[in-house]
Amino acid sequence: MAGAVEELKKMAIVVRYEILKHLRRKRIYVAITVFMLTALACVLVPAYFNAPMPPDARTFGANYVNFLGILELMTIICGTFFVGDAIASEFEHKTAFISFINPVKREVIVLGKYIAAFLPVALALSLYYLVGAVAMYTSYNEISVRFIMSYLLELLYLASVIAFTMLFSSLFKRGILASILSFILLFLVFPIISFILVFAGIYPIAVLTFAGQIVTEIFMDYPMMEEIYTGHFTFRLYHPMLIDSIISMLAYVVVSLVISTIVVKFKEV
Amino acid sequence: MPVIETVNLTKYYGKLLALSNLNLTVEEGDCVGYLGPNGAGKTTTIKLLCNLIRPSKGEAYINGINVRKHPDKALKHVGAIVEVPGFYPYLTAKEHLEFLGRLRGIPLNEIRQRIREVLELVGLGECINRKVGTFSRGMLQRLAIAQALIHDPDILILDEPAIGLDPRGMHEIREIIKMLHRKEKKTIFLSSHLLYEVEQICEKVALLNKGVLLAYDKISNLEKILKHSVVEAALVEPPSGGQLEQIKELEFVQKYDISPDGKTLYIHVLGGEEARYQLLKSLIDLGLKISSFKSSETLEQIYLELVKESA
Repeated sequence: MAGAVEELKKMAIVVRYEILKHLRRKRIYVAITVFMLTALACVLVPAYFNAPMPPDARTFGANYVNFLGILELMTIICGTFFVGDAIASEFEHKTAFISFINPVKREVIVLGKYIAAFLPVALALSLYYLVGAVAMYTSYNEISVRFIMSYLLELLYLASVIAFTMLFSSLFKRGILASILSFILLFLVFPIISFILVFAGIYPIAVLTFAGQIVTEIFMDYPMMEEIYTGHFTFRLYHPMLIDSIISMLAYVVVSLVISTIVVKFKEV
Repeated sequence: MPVIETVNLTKYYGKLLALSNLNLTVEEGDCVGYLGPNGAGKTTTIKLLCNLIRPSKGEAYINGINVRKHPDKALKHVGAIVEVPGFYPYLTAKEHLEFLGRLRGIPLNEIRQRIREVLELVGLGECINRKVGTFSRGMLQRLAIAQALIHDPDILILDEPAIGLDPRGMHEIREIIKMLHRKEKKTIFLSSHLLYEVEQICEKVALLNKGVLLAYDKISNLEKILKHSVVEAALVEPPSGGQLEQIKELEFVQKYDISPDGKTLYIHVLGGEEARYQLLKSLIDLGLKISSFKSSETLEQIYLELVKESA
């Protein structure tokens, strides 16, 4: 028990100094600026042009979360480019020669870096949702439960994207390679795989980006599958279900982190 | 109980044998120089001792604790420099040492005092709040030494600690290491390819070539294994042709060279201490006015001889 507490203390130290890294590298300020500009644009532009307001808080929340697809894009960009070099740079820039020779378990370092990458991006996302929540409460005098659920699911999605990138960061010795590869996979390859699976009539819940769609789709009560007849053939459209998505995203977090820690534990410097 | 011990320690990189059955013990308070040419296996040994790589065979122990099985416990009292370590460019010197010190469990109030001490010791006292990204190569090497000392370890494992430093910096670092060994009684295992550095700092030396330990003993004992040594004799006035002829005929003399001004003789002597003593006596008997007489670069000769033999 005392040993576990000691390891947690060490993890907290790693988290603290890693967060300092993110704050000093200034990427986080860019992310916050983008989120804030998007949030303000979503709230203020319709008001400026006297556009009709959505009928209820839930619809407002759906529009806000879907706005310009910024949430999905920024989650992937931040998730991959904040974490890509977390582990890889320890080998690339030889900082492992000072961090790995300490009496600290390597898994503690991996988990500390993971948490430290998650927290600043989660803060930026939280600010985005906070602006939405304030606007929603001001206009409708309520906060939609679905909006809160979307926020929590978004945090889970972010956690899974970061864990997934962490895996590549552990495998490669170049941070930029880990970032670009995970970005391409999440932004391009996974959506293509989802598309192919849908055509094959397979529910693509195992694909992270498909599971992550629950962040925006939580506002609707879609069935798992819709059959759309186009006039020539019947097209099946799948929607991620809440529980399935949570399980899928959690699985990505757990599996990616377990593999990452094993890889780093046995990786030679 | 030895402080550092390796038992049949072997490391392959693919098919390349980097270290072969290394059996080495370093006792408490020893200062051991680990010498070898580039690619001899010095850094590999140090990485194995610091659990940065896994052995293909054999084990390494620090304070009797298996490094591979219990790295946390084994490395607790070790300060190390491995290669030229990297630092986080966005952190200051103080933040680096604070981070590493806290990871080692030093209370925050103690760390701050200790940071000042070690940074002053390595000559970075004025750079305490400077971001490491702005440091020169020499400053980074000094910081590397500071991070190895932050927790006041009993054992220092140093991989070419003076690399990247200018001559003055190298001298300062040597003095620091000497002080740590002599005054603070720390056990030091220092790898280097600078023979002069090792000769200045260490009492014992381990010679390595192509992953094989060639010799491990006190420098004074190793001198005894020399088949020949070079003696440098400075003369008040150049020797005559007859005296040079007689020198060539002396019992222990293999050959000699003479400096352009004729006032320094470099004599290759067959044998060790006794042969050198006899030579000095003979040179005086020949009427040479000797102002100094010294055995030059002994360790280098031992090293070259052993490396040549092992090739």
